[in-house]
Amino acid sequence: MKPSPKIFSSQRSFTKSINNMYAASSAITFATHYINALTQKFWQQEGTLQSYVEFMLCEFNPMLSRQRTAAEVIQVITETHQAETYVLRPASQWKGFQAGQYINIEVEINGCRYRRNYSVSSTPEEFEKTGIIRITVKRVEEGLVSNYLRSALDAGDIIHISPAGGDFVLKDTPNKSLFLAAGSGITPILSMIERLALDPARSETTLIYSAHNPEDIIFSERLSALSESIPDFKFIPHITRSEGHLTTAAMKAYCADIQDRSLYLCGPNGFMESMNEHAVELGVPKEAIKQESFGAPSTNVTALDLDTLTDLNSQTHFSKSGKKIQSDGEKTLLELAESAGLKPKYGCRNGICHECKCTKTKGQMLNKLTGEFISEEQSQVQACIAIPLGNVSISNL
Amino acid sequence: MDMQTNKLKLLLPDELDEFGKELDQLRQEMISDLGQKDADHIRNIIRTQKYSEIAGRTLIHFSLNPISWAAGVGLLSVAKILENMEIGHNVMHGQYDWMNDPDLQSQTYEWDTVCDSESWRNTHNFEHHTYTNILGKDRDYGYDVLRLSDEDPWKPRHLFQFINYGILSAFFEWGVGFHELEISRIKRGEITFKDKIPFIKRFTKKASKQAAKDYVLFPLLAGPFAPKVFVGNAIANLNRNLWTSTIIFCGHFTEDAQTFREEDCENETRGQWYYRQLLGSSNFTGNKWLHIMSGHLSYQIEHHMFPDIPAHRYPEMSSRVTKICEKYGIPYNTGSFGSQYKTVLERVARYSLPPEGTLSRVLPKQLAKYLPI
Repeated sequence: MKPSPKIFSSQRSFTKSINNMYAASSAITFATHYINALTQKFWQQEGTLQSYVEFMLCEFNPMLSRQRTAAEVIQVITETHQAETYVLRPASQWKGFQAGQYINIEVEINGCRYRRNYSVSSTPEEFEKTGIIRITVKRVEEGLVSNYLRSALDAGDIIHISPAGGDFVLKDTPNKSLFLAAGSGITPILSMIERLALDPARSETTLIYSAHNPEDIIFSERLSALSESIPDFKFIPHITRSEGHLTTAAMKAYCADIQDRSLYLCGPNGFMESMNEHAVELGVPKEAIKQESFGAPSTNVTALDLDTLTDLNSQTHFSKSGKKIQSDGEKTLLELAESAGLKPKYGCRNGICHECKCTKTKGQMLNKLTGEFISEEQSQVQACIAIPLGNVSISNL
Repeated sequence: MDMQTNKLKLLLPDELDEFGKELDQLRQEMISDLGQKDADHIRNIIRTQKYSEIAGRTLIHFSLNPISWAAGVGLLSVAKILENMEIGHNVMHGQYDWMNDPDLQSQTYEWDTVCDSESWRNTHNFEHHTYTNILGKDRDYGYDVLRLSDEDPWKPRHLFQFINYGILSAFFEWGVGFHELEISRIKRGEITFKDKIPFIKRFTKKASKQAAKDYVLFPLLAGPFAPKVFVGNAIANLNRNLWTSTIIFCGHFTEDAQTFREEDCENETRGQWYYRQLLGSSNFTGNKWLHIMSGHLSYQIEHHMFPDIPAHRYPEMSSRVTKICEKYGIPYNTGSFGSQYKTVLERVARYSLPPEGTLSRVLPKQLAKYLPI
C-alpha cells in the first residue's frame, strides 16, 4: 500500500523540522564560537573603544572588568599568629590553575599599585565545584603588601589577579613522593597534597614541614586530619627551635627510601639550598627534585647602607639586549647603557623631560639630582639621573 | 621695551644656589606626600571626562533640537579639553608614573588630538621644558609663526600676524602636531625633508585615526544625521583648539615673561634653571574649575619648575614659591586671566610692527626686496 501523500508529507515535515533544529542549533553553536572569537580579538587590542567599554563595565560592576581579572574577597581566615587565608572568587574569565601554581595579585596602597606572587593553597577541584580559590599569606615584618592585605582586606573587597603560572606542579607519573616545606612554602604543597588525597591512584606521600615554633605551622589541623584519614600520607612537623635545622641524618630517619621518591621543595632561599644539598647527598637524582623558590621578601626600605651597595663588583644588566656592565656608583644608568654600546632614547639629560624612562625589574638606585633613594619597588626610573647601587636589571634596553 | 636675559644675573651665585635648594626641598616634600589623594584626583577627572564624552556624543547623535545638540557639543568640548589638559598633558609629563598604573604611564599614553604622543614628548617635554624661552632653542616661542621679541628680525609679513595668530589658534592641534616637522629648519637647509619622513609617517597615522573617528566613523553611525554629527565634532575640536591655544599663550607670552639667549644658559646650575623657568613663565588666577580646565597651566611657573609633580598640587606649592620669591626679591608673574591675556594680545600686536622709530627706515628696505628693480 502506498503511503498516503498526507502522511508522507507530515513525515517529511517532521524530518525537516528535526533537520531544521539541528541546523539551528549548529548555527547557534557556530555563532557563539564566532562571537566568542570576535570578543576575544576585540579585547586583545588596546584602543579608545576598548578603554570606554572597559570603563563602563567597571562603573557598572568592577567584577566585569575585561582588561584585568578581578577577584572578590569572600572571607578572611586567620591561620596562625602571622598568616591569613584569603578566600577569593575570581571573575568568570579566569581560567583556573594546577595544584602548586601561583597567581600574581595586584593591590593599590596609597594610590600606588603593587604586585606580588602568592601560591594557591586550595585545589583545582574546589575551584571547579565552587568557583573559589584560597591564597595563604604569611606576613613579613615590614612587608608592605602582606601587612596591607591583613589590615585592609575584608569580605566584599575587590583585588586583581593574573592567570596562574609556574611549573611547580605534580608530576604526571604517580610515584612515591616527599614534600619538604618551610614557612609559607607549605601553601602550594597543601594544594598538591589535597589534590593527591583525591586521587585514588596516588602512592605513598610524606610531608616534612619545618617551622621555627609549633605555633608557626600553617594548616596544622588540616594536615593532621589528612594524615589520620589517609593511611599512606605521613605528616612530619619538624620544629627547628627544639630539634635544630633539618640534617641529612634527620631526613633519612624521617624518610628511609628518600632516594626512590619524587621530591617537592618549597620555602625560603636558605632552606631550599640546604635541602637540595642534603637530597643530593642522600642519593636523590637531580631530575627527581621539583622546587619553587619564594625569594627574599621585599620590604619597604626607606634608608640604606650606601657602603654595602656601592660594591665595585656591582653589575647593571640590560635584559633585552643581554648586555651587562660594571657599575661604579657614580655613572648614571644612561651613561652606563651608552658605554655598553646601547642607544637608549634620551632628551634633556637633566631629569626634566622623562624621555629616558627605563623599566627596572630588580635593584636599587640613587636619584643624583635629589639624593633620593629609588627603592626595589619603583619600576619606572629616569635613566639620566639614576645611579645604580648594587646589582640592577633593566628590562627595556 | 626690551625683554633681555640680563635679569637672570641679578641674583648672586650663592643666592641662586640657596634659591635652588629651597625649591628642591619643596619638590622633595611634595614627592614624599604623594598618595591616595593624587590617585583619586586623576581618576575623578578621568571619570568626569569619560562621562562628558559619552554624554556629549550621545546628545549630538540623538539631539532633537538645537539646544540639546549644542549641549552635546559643549560636553564633548569639555571632555576633549579635560583629556588634553588635565589628563594627557600631565600624564605624559610623568606626573602619575609612580602609581604603577599601565593606563597612566608617561611613555605609553596616547591622547585625543592629532598630535602623536611620541612627537609631543620630544618637542614639548624635552625641547620646550629644557630650553624654555631660549630664543632659537625653544621653538614654542612663537611657534615659527609669530614674531614676539625684537631678537626676531621684523619682516613685512609680521604686519599681518594677527591673522596668523587666529589661524594658529583655530587649528592649534594641527600646529602642535606638525611642530616636529621644523619647517623653518628645512627652509634654512639645516635639515632635509627626507630626515622628517619617519615623523611624517607617525603623524599621518595618528592624524588619520583622529580624523576618521571624529569626521567619518561617528557621523556614519548617525546615518542620515551625519552632517550634524560632523559639524558638532568639528565645533568641539575648534573649541578645544581655541581654549588650549589661549591658555598656552598666557603661559609664556605675557608682558613680563622674559626671553633668554643661548649663551647665557650654558652650564646652568639647578638654581639658574629654576630661575629661568620662573622668569619665562606666567600664571593667572581663577577658580578651581578654571585651573582644572587649563590643566593647571594657570600655574605655569610651578609647572615649569616641577613638571613631573601632579599638577593639582601646584596651588599649594604656589604659596610656598611666592614666599620664596619674595624672600629673594624676585618677580612672580601673575594676574587675572583677562589681564594676562590682554598683555599677550598686546605683545602680538606690538611685535607685528618693527622696533619703535625704525618703521620708516626698515619698511622701505624690506619692501624694496619685493620690487622688481
